[in-house]
Amino acid sequence: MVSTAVKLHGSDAALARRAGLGDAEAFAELFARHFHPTYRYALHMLDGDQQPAEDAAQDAWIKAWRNLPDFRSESRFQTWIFRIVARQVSDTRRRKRPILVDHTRLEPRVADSDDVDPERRMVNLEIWETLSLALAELPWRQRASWLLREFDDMSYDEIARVLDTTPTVVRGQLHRARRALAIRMEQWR
Amino acid sequence: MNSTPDPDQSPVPSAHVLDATEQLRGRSRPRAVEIADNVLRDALRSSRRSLPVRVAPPHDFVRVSDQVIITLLRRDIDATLEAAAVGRIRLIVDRDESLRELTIELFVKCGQVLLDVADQARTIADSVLARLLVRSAFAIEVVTSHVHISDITTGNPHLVDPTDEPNP
Repeated sequence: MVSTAVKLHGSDAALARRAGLGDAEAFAELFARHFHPTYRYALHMLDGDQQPAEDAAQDAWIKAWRNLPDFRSESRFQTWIFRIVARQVSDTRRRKRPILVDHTRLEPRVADSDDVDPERRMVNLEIWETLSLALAELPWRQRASWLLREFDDMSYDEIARVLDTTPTVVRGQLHRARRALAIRMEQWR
Repeated sequence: MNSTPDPDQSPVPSAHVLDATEQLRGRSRPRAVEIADNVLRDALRSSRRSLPVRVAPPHDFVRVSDQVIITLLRRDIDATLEAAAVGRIRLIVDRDESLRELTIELFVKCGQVLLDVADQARTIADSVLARLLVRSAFAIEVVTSHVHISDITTGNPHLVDPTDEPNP
């Protein structure tokens, strides 16, 4: 169990090597280091729905345990596990949301006289809640790029590996995400 | 022609956004600790792809998973050798499920006598195989002894990987 696991020293690469050779304690230590960021990513990418996020994280970590014998440290363990989680989340989203996307949700909304005053709507929310809502309005690739950069300190190259794209695309997505979030947060301020 | 915008050249996020990011990053997720225990338990219960390996006669009706052999080889070698750690273990199993070949890749700390370390690892491997496959009567025959230096680790190989260290 995580809460009672013996704290092991060593780099992620050394622990991943041991876990690949069947060392359950090394896997538990890797899990203790990386589970919460991966679960947080799944939760944000699945719009805060706990059960699908929990299922996605669980399936991803089961795949990680099974595939660790093939892990060769060609990338950091963090990048490797996030790549598995991102694919799992992507599969979950495909199954969960067979709905048409309303294009107006993809851009920051301008003030609409028919809407409830956004300031009034947001007045009771904490600042992190407004950011969370703004994030949920971003297209998934922008959201994923922003989360991996701002929460998990990944480089453009690492984000590109996780999301199966190129660093150039990541740069563009990140730029648009930051601009959209800044506008949205300013509107709700 | 459009060029890709550089996010680092984007307008600097306001203190408001930075503050919100910091709060959201540090926020604990509902049920996260409870979920973590379940996920870890289920992951460790799941089985890896494995091959059966036949125990020596007269108990050759028994099979041992190659994953069990790998786990115990790693455990015993890592526990005994201070300046070396197991990198990879490869088993070659014949069609009749008997173990034909075993390769143990070691990460050895710079400055060690490699052949001595390899001999120690071989002795430990012999003992593990004897225990699991009842092979004491068929002590490991060294067909080839191959030492290949692919990288140098200056730190403790139990705690670091060659990929963790900058190239000299």
